[in-house]
Amino acid sequence: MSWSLHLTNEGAYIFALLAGLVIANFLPRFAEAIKDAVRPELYIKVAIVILGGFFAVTAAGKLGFASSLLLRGVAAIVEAYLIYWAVVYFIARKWFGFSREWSAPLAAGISICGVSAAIAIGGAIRARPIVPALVSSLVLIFAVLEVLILPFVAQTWLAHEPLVAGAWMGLAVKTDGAAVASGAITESLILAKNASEGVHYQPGWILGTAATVKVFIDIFIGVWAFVLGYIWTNHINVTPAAEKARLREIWERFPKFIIGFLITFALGLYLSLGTPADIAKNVPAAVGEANTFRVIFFILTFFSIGVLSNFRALWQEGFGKLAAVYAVSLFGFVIWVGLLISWIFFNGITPPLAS
Amino acid sequence: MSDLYRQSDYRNELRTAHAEPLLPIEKTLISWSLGIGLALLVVLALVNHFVPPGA
Repeated sequence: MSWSLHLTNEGAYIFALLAGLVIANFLPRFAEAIKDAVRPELYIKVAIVILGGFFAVTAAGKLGFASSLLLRGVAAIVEAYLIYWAVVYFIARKWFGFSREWSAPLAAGISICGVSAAIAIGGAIRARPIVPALVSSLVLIFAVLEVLILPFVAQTWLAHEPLVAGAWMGLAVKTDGAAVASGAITESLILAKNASEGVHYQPGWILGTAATVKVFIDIFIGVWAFVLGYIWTNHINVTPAAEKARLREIWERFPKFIIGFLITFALGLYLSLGTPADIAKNVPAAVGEANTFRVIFFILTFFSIGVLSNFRALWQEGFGKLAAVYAVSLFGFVIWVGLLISWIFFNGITPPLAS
Repeated sequence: MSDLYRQSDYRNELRTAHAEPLLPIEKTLISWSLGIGLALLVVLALVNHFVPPGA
C-alpha cells in the first residue's frame, strides 16, 4: 500500500473499536447482517493462545520475575472470586434489591470475567438465559469505557510503575478482550512516555502481565461456578438429584483456550531455553511473525466489541438499575482495590531495558 | 434477546420485584468469602514481601 494512516498497533485498536461503535449505534442493519462474524470472545482467545508463545520468549530472559507474577496471579484469583464477587453480590442484593437470580451473574460479570463468568454462573445457579445475556451486554459497554479511559489514566499516574499498570488492567477491566487490549494500549502509552524520558523498556512485559493476571482469573471460573451451583441447588433453590451441581461442571466450564495458552507458552519457553543456540536464536523472529496474527485478532476483537456495544438499544431495555450497580461496584470498589493490590505486589519492579 | 423475553416484562420485573431478604446461607457465603479472601491476600502479600522478585 502506498498510503497509511500511520497508526501504531494500539492506535489501530482504538480505531477498530470506534468503527465498531459507529456501526452498532448508527448502522444497526449492517450490524445485524454481520452479527455471525462478530465473535470477540473467539478472536481474543485465539490472540491469547498466540500471546502465550510471545510472552514465553519475553519471559525467558527474566525467569526470576515469574515468581512475582505467579503470586500476583494467585492474588488476582483470591481478589476476584472471594473479595470482589462477595462485595458486589452484597451491593446488588442489599443496596439495590436485586433477586438472587440477577445478583449472582451480575456479581460474576462485574468481578470475575464479564461475559464468560456471567454465563457460567448464570448456568450454574440455573438462572433464566435472559439474565446472563443482558448482564453480558452491560459488561461490554463498561469494558469499552474502561478501554478508552484506564490506559490513559495509567500512563498519567503509573508511567514509572509499568507492571503495576499492567496488573491493574488485568484486574480492573472485565472480559478477556478488553483486558488484554487495555494491557496492549497501556504498554504502548507507558513505553512511549518513558522513552521520551530516555528510558527504553523491553516491550511485552506490561501486556504479558495484564494477560497473565486475566488468564489466572479465568482458570477458576469452573470451580466458582460449581461452588455456587452446589450452594444454589442444595440450599437455596433445592433441585432434584438429577439437576444438582456436579463436579464434572468444573471441567465443562473450564475455559479450554487456557490450555492453548499454556501449550504455546511452554513451547516458546522450551524453544528459547531448551534447544541449541542456533535454534534458540531464531525463536524471537518466528514469534514475531506469529505476533502479526495476534495483532490481527486483537483488531478483530476490538471491532467486534464495538459492534456489540449498542448503547441505544441497551438504554431502551431499561438497563438503568443494572448499570447503576455496575458503575457503583466497578468505579467505587473493584478498580481501586485492584490498583492497591497491584501496587502491593509490583511496585518497584520494572521490565528489563531494551537491548 | 427480545424473542426470549419481552422488554416490558423485563423492565416490570426489575421495577416491581419484591426484595428478597438475605438468607443465612447467603450471609455465610459472603462473610466466609471475604474472610478467607482477606486472610489469603495478607499471606500472599507477606510471601511476596519476603521472597525477592529476582533479577
